[in-house]
Formats: sequence, structure tokens, C-alpha cells
Amino acid sequence: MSEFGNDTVGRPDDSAPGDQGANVASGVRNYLIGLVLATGLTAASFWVASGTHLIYAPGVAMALAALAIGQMGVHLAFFLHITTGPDNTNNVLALAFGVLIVGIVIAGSLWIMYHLNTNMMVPSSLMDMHLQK
Amino acid sequence: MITFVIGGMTGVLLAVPPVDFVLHNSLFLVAHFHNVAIGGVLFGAFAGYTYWFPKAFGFRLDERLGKAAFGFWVIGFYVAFMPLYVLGLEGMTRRMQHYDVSAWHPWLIVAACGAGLIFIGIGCQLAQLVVSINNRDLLQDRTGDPWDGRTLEWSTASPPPAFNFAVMPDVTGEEAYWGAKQTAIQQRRLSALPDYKPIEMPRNSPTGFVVAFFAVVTGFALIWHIWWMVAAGLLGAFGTFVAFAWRDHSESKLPAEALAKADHRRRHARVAIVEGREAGIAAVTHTRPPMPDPNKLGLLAAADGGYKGPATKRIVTGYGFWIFLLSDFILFSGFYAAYAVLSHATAGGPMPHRLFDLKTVAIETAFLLLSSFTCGMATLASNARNMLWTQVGYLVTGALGLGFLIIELSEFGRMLTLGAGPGRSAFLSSFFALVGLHGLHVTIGLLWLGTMMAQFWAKGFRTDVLRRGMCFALFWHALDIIWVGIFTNVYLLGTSP
Repeated sequence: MSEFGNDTVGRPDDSAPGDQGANVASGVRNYLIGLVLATGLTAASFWVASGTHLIYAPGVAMALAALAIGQMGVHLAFFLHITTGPDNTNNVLALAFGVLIVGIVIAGSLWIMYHLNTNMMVPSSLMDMHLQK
Repeated sequence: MITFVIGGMTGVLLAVPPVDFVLHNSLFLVAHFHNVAIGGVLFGAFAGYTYWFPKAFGFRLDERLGKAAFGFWVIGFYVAFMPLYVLGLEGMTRRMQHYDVSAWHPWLIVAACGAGLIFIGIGCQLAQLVVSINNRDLLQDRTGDPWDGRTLEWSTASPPPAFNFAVMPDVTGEEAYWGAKQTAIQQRRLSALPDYKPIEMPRNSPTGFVVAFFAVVTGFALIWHIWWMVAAGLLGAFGTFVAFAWRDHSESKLPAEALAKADHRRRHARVAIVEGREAGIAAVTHTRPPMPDPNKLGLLAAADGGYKGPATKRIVTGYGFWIFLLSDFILFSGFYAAYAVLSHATAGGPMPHRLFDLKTVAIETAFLLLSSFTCGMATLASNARNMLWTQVGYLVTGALGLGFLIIELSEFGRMLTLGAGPGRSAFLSSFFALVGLHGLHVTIGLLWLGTMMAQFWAKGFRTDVLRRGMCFALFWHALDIIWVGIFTNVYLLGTSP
């Protein structure tokens, strides 16, 4: 054991992602809360998608997106223990950068492809360069 | 710089759709991207090659030939590529086998001369390398700081030792090395001899190379449908992974005496700089602006205890793995985006709501969610060093993951029998790519989980095994987050009215 040192005791101002306090009971409670919240949000998503009349139909997609983002947040907070505490600054900053890139990739692709679809549809005779002299 | 700006401006022109439509595939475009690639990337790479060559190999490159190469390259570049802008505007397309427009001819001759100049530039670079290797004793970098550098890599010897820094440099302000060097030159002596402590070095391991070899075998076999070779490649890669996970000694300690000895040689060379015996560097010294107050640079901060030492390995490992997971999210975001763009491109084939069965998806989701919870329980148990519950937790996690995978594969099978395979439409290609990639991650997670259980069983709760357990838990929880995106984006949005 000595060869590897004891590194399970973190420093007070820094912690690895996924680390939590040593207390088992509070740890179990934490995961249980996460499980209940995540199950609730999942059930809500399926309920919304199954065609309820409580939600204005064109808003269903938006509701689903909101529920999904909420559930991802629950997973991050209760399962991966990414918190806003002072010991987690590095992890949160890395996450923020990741979210930024993911947002650019997804929103950017949709935007550009939509734009191309609407603005650059040219007659097929023009697109076929072989036919031009 | 100017070269790169020209490339950028022509890029802006090409970004205007009507212009782009006219100039598409013309030599104007060719000139533009060479402008960016050569001016921005290649010249930058050449600069870095010249600058860090002495750090990597211990001797500088020949300066005269280097300047000649620079001249030929820059002039040759302009002579070769500027005519292409004109040619592009005159309507010449790229990759022509022959041409019969006489107006193009003079420009193309000029461009060919430019190519010749660039060729001479390349020749100068090759000659520079040969000449420099031959004259390496003359060009030797004795001090490790041949350019009077400002950043910390120049404080090491050239080439740097495997441990890089004998004593961890204390960086509390900007330009820590510059500040320390100025102090030393002003006081005409080096800083006090540091207190050398043994350094833990990771042992060299061929694992990466061996796994890459098996990956190449697998890729080759997959392309040519040689299924036995696919199996052999995968088995080899997994076997290497297990063998690597099984090692007992991943690190070796470098004793303090060896460090002190190696560092003494470096400091000896440094004394020459400080005392003005090493020409070239000391000569520049007196023309420098006065040295800033060392207190402002934070060089003395170590004394007042503001520095708590490097983070523990658990924190560093966890952080590194977290960065990897975030890059994995970015990989998935590309597949999400492809699916979102293509989900309506069904090519007359089946639509999403005719293929997906929400009940099955709900069961899959429940399996994965529960497995995330049990994985958390296993992590808690392993941190509390309870073998029984650790193994039970991992076992249940693995069973749930396996269940998820079996349901997913049977769904894939059902779709294939309906004629809705990945080849049917762009929608189905992107569907199988996205969901299949997640399934592949789950498969790898299951293999990892099995190895994890065996490691805990055989090695006990050793700190390095616990670190791996932490990484596995992060990986498994991350898979669940990705699934949340998939069941919303693919299944729920696909089937909602």
C-alpha cells in the first residue's frame, strides 16, 4: 500500500469528479434522490411524448428538450457529483467548455443545413456541371 | 502574417454564396486554401521546428541555410500562388489535364517558376538538416537556453531529461522563468541549491503501441470482411488491456541523489550564463529593461505558504478522465447533429414512428437508469472497502447493462428483418450510427466492468485500483446521460405526433 501512497483523502479545496464525502449513508441518500428525480423526469418525458392534451401540441418538442436537459443536470449533480462547490471549479469549467462545443456543433449544424436547404436549392440542371459547355 | 491575411480575406470572398458558386473548384479557391495552409500552418510549423529543435535534440539548426530556405519559400510562395488568383478569375478550373487558352499561359509559367523556387527552399531545408547534424558539436546547445527564452521549457537541459524538472517549478506569476533568470543575472549567481525529493515516474509501457497494432488489424479486417481476423484483433486488444490493468508496479521512484547529480550538470552550464562567460546570451543582458520587482512576480510566494503542492493522483486522474468524457460527449454531439439533420431524409422508406416501440425504449431506459444507481452503490461500497457489496453492486450493474444490450440488439434485428437496415435511407444510417455508437460504448463498459470486478477481487482495494473504479463509474454514468439525449432526440421526438 505504501508504494502507491494514500490519495483517497482529497485536499479541502479540490476534488475529483465523482468524489463525494466518506459517509456511506449520505452517499446512498444522494444516489437515491438522483434515482427518484431521474425516474420522475423520464416518466414525464414519456408521458409528454405519448400525446397528452395538457400541453399545446407544437410545444411538445420544447417540453421534451427541457425535460432532457433537466435530467442531464440531475445525472451530473447526483451521479457524477459535479457541483458548484468551491472544490469543483476545474470540473465545472471543463463542463462549461464541453457544453459550449456541443452546443456549437448541434445548433450550428442544424442552422447551416437549414439555411442551405432553404437558400441554395438551385435547379438540378445548373448543379450538373458536366452538362455545361 | 500578411500572407495569412490575404488568405483570410479571399476566404471571406469565397464565403459569399454567389461568389462561391462562380469560383467553386476554380484556381482562385486553390490559391486561397494554399494561402491559408502555407501561410498559417506550414510556416508556423517551420518556425516551431527551428525554435524547438535545439530543445529536442541538443543542437541548433544551421542559420545560414535556414535563412536561405526562408527566402526561397516566401518569395517562391508568392510567385507560385498569386498568379493562381488571376487564373481563377479568368475561369481556369483545377486539375486540368491540358488547356487551350493562350491568356493563361504566361501566368502558368510564372507559377511554375514559383514552384521551382519553393523546390529550392525545400532543398535548403534538407541540406540544413544534414549540415546541422554533421556540425552538431559546433552548434551544440550547452546551456539549454540558446535563444534567451522566456518560458519554462528553456530552464531545462537540452535535450530535457525524462523527469523534465528536477524540482517542480513554482509558478505564481507570469513568466516565472524570465523573472528567475533576471534575478540570477542581477545577483550574478544562481538561486540556492534546491531540496531534491524523489520523483515518481510512470514506467515505460508498450501498451499503446500494441493496442494500436491490434486496432489496425481490426480495422483492416472489418473493411475486407475477414471475420476471424476481426475477432483476433479485438481479442488481442482486449488481452493487452487486461495485461496492462494487471500490472503491479506502474511507477518507479527516481532517487533524490540521481536527480541532484543530473541537475548539477544543468546548473553548472547555467553558471556560465550568469557569470557572463557564455557569450551571446550575456551580451544581450545589459540592453534589457530593468528587472521587475520579484515580489510582484510572485517568485517569493513559496515562502509565505500560498502554495499547497500538486493535487493528489486521484484528483488528477479524475480530472483527466472527465476531460476525456467531455470529448466523448463532443463526439456524440456530432452524431446527434447528423441524426437531427437527416431524420426526415427517409427516401420513401419507413418513418421513425412506424419503427420505434416506446414500450421497449422505456424498458431499456429503466435498465440503464437502475444500473447507474447500482454502479453508484458499488462505488460507495468500494470506497468503504466492502468486497461483498462491491462485487454485488458491479454484478447487478453488469446484468442490467447486458439486459439493455440484448434488448437493443433484438430491436436492431427486428428492424433489419423489416428491411429497415442502415442502407435503406439517410435517416436509418444516422440512426444506426448514433444508437450503435452508444451500444458499442455499453459493450466496452461491460468488458471494463468485468475486468474491474476481477481486479478488486485479485488485488483488493489498492489505491490505483480504486482510481480505476472511480473512472469506470464516471464512464458508466456518462453513458446514461448520453442515453437521455438519445431517447429524447431519437425515440420520443420521432414518435410524438
